[in-house]
Amino acid sequence: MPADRKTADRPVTAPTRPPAAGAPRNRGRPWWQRGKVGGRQPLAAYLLLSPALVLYIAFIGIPLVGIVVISFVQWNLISPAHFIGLGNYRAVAHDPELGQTLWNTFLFDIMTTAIHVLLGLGLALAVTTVRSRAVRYWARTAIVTPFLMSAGVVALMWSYILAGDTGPLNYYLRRIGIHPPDWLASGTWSLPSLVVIDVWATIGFSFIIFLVGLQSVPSELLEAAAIDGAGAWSRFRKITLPLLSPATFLASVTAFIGAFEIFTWPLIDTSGGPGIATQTVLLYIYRDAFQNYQFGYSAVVSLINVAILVSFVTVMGLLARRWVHYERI
Amino acid sequence: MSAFDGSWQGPVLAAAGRGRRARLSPGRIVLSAFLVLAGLLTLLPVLWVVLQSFEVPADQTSVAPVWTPTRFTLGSYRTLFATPFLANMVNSVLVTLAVVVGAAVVSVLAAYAFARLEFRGRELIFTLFLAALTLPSQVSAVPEFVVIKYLHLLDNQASLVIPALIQVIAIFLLRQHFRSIPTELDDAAKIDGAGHLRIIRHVMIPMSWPAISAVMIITGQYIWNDFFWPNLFITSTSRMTAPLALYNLESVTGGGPVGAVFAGLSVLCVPCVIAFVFLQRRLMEGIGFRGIAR
Repeated sequence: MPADRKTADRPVTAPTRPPAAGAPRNRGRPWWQRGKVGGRQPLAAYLLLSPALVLYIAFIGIPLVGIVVISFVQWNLISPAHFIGLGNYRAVAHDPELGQTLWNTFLFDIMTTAIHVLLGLGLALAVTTVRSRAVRYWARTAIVTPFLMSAGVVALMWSYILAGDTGPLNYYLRRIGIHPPDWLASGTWSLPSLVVIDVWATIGFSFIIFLVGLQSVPSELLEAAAIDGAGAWSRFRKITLPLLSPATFLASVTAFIGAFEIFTWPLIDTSGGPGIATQTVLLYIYRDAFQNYQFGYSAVVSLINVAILVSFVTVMGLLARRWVHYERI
Repeated sequence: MSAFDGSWQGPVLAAAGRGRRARLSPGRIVLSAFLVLAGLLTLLPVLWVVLQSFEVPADQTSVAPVWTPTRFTLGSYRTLFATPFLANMVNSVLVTLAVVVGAAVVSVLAAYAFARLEFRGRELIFTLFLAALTLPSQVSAVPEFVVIKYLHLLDNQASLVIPALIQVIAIFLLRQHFRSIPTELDDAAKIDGAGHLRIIRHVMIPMSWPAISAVMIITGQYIWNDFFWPNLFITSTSRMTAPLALYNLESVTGGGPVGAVFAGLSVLCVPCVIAFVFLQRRLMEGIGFRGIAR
């Protein structure tokens, strides 16, 4: 670290302090805090950082490296692991379930992300447009509350609501003359049903991101445009939307990553079924590892999962460079 | 961070729209009606579950939803609390508290080091930390399970606490916030003889308390509601967190005491609503933070 950078960061420190202040300041302080004020204090820094660093290495670093290592072994966690080279990779390449699983995850993710962005933005716009405080408060509370509920709670609740014969939703649908499917057990409807559950439970997050984004759109700009005769739509299209693009980007990336790791709804509500119609990647990894005890195999699937996620996020980041306006007005 | 100074009530678009002239345009009335209805529809499932939990078994199992129960009963709650559900709730509370406090301490210390100190590898370590944000932690569930197994923490609540103490997003947000605090303040404290820990305690924490509490609330919300990790690590009923215990109750009994599950769902839903009402502002800031701190 060059010395000039340090002084650039904190202009007051070195030049203004009387030189004699150094000695008494150190007295009575533990040895690791002695040193020049504003100077490099690597020991103190490492000490302060050490809890985070140790935890990072143990629970983020080692596991990430671990996936790669485990992917080369056959291991059920009980008997010793033995190296089988690319055996797991070959098996995964011929896995008939994996394609369907990835496709399910992808479909679920695309639907969820699109709804998150459109509905989240729509609701945030509606809430900011409405005048009444009571309505705004009510809408905000109702939209965000489900986001505060445990995934397990949400999944259980919806398994009762969407139940085919006994669920209240189907009762009312039958009352108005519709013959509803058994939502969670239908090959066609189970995945869209999980999308509905997911949106219900997590839309609050995108909603808040857009709400905060809308607060940062300067009202003077919109007023000026209105005075110049711009209609509501062109104000939205030409001012609000471009200024919201960082929020849109954040909401879509967060929704995308979150939806890719979807686990609890398929586990509790459909058990990945019917058949494997709602089996998602994380559920598949979970089953391979913790139900079939194929740890090596599931590590390969985890790696595929990581690769897909990283490439999607990279592509989204590259697109963002073209479409996201970061400049502030 | 300027958006946090402003009030949440600020009707940005409304003010910018037709100004004060159109106070009650038909469009806004329709929009209000839509929002009221949408909110009602969103909370309807919760209302249904809470109502069910107070109903007699005959009403609970009736196919036609009962909105006006024949009589209220606490029977479902009695069945629920005959299971170790109270212990499960205590587990949830303790795990959440431990993570919230522990992660805040870890994050504040690390964020201070990143924001204020110079040391070899600072940028590299910070970049490595940030990289972890792109990958959800569930991705490495398999090796993390192995780590927990070798630490002999399986089926122990510590397995839910210790790995959660590293919250990269919290470190990142707090670092951003610490950097926005003028260095003159720490310099003044240093001249008065304060060490790093005292600067953290008397300058950083008081100056960024809103940010720290927002971070604590989003961490707490995540841990309290998490289902994935407890489901992976905890197997004894008495050690489970509340949502997992409820799932266990439902799946093991195979739909036996429906009432108890409804009661459990209500017990876990209602605090969320109450917590939201009280923590609304902080929580929104916490989530909104991610949008603003870049």
